[in-house]
Amino acid sequence: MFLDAHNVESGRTLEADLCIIGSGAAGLTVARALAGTSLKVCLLESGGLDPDAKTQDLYDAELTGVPYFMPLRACRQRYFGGSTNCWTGWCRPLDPIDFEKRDGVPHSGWPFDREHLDPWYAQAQKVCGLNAYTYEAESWAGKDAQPLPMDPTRVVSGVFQVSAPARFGTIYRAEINAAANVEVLLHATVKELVTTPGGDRLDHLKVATLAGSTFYVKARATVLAAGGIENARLLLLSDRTHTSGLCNEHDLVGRYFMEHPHLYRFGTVFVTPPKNDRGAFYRLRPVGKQCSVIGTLIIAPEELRRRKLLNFTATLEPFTSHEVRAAAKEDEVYRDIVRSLPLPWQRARHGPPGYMVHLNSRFEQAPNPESRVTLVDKRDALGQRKARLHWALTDTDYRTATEAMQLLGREFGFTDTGRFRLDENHYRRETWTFAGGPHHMGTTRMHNDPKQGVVDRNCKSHALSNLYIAGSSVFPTGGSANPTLTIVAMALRLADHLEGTLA
Amino acid sequence: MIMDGQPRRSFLRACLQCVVALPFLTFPGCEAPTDIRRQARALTWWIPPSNSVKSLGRRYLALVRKERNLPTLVRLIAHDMEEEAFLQLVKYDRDGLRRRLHESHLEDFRHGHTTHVDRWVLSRTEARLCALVALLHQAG
Repeated sequence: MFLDAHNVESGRTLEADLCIIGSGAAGLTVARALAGTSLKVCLLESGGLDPDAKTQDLYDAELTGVPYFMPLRACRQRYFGGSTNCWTGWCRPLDPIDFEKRDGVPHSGWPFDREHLDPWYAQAQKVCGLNAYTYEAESWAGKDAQPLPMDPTRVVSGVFQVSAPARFGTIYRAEINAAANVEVLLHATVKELVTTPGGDRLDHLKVATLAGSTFYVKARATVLAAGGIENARLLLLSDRTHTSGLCNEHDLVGRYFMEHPHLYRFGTVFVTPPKNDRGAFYRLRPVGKQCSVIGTLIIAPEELRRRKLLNFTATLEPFTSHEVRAAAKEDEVYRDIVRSLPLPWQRARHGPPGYMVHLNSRFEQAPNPESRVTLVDKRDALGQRKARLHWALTDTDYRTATEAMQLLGREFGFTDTGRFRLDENHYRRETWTFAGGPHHMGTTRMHNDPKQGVVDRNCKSHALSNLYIAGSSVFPTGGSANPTLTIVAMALRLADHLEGTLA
Repeated sequence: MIMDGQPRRSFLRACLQCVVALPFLTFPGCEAPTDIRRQARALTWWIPPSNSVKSLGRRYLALVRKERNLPTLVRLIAHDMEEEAFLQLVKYDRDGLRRRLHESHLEDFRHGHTTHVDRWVLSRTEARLCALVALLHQAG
């Protein structure tokens, strides 16, 4: 059932078994999973059913550090469905290596491995509108769409599955509305999490509307699912009893912010004129009514371990016909290079003009305590301090991109796929311009040790026994895959845990 | 003298063969630079001396100044061949030589012996072959 918080009497206290803050991929998934149970669930959404500029302004934040590619106000959506209202639908589970504690990647390691999460990943496929739970290249290869034959100890192929994309706020609206035990309060912005006098449990939430009313929600347990930046912001804002904010005894809240740095068109592959279309596997192609797949090149885990690199994927984007014409001179150089190769065949002399593709990369950012969300003195419309995002990259991040590009260049040559030329702006790291997901991860990281993590393996706060955190803010590392599938899988896992704990 | 068709064709073929074979012939008393040039030509016989190849070669030589001479380049390109075997390939089996270089160039990529020339990721061998072409055709 949907309710408007403007109709809640100011000063009133609402009660529930479970309160969920935020109706994005994480919060809505927990609510849906618990629909029809005996638990009374209250889902708080800051926005309404449609976008609204004043509510969206509550996301306004400062940016420092590595130039962030878009304002934080613009890269998230603050209404029912959250940022699934603007996601692109790209999905892929984290790789097994992403869960490992890795040499050369300080602060890496999840409290469990990929195999543990697989059952929830399989369920998450359906939630996200995807196809079968397999991301191996072999499963999606066809006669006319073959992965490149690279050395599998160095570079492997896999796929992203691309959802329609599923707008959770639209496709699950009726289901949530029909759930007798789930109450959605729209236009309800949480201002503060208030603890019991002992400070070891959450007592209630202070909730406000932009119209000026304030009310309270008291629940046996609360799930904070407001997004990678707002989760940290809300904990830092809740400084009534703990001056550094809630769950922040070890100064971890807001730290370890991670993105997936993207380098678009970092280079061009001039593909040797082939007998068949070597690029087909790497182009978006439908595999059902609502889902497509697109092939990707992935630096193999053995190579990542050997070189102490972070995870790295690259997708291939064919040149448009206009770009092919514009690159004719470069292509001629390439064809001259091919002619100069000591190859036993002559196909390059007689083949059609070379097939050219841009390479686009997305890679893992190392967990870095200096990359962080803090608060500034500027206030939003509800009088709350705004967030500041300081995005900081490490040498490992830059080294990963540099070495991965070189490695791909080598593999294109080794397999005689073609030759790789770095883009002019990506030849030296000083001129790199990063884009990103936008994927906000790591600010309330998961670790079994309270000194190293804000939540435990069950996403329960180490400091408060009835506060849980959902979403990518709990990711200790982010891999190179888009996070939504993992967010949903983790939310389903959390819902199973809560059902067992609260029932 | 007027020759009929058959002898004239034979004569022309013989002339052509002489012209093609001339750079690869060993003459008594020839000097080392001539040998080196002959080896360099044998290493690059199939490569058209296009402007782009010469330009890549010049750029490579600008990056690796110590390789700016034919003997060094020839030695480095043929480094994994026995000298006698290399000379035999130069003299009698240019296709065999090309196959050997193909292996070298794949080995370069396999082992990461690559270089960036004008932002291209090239194997060391192919970059050096371009450099050889540039040196052999300096006037162009």
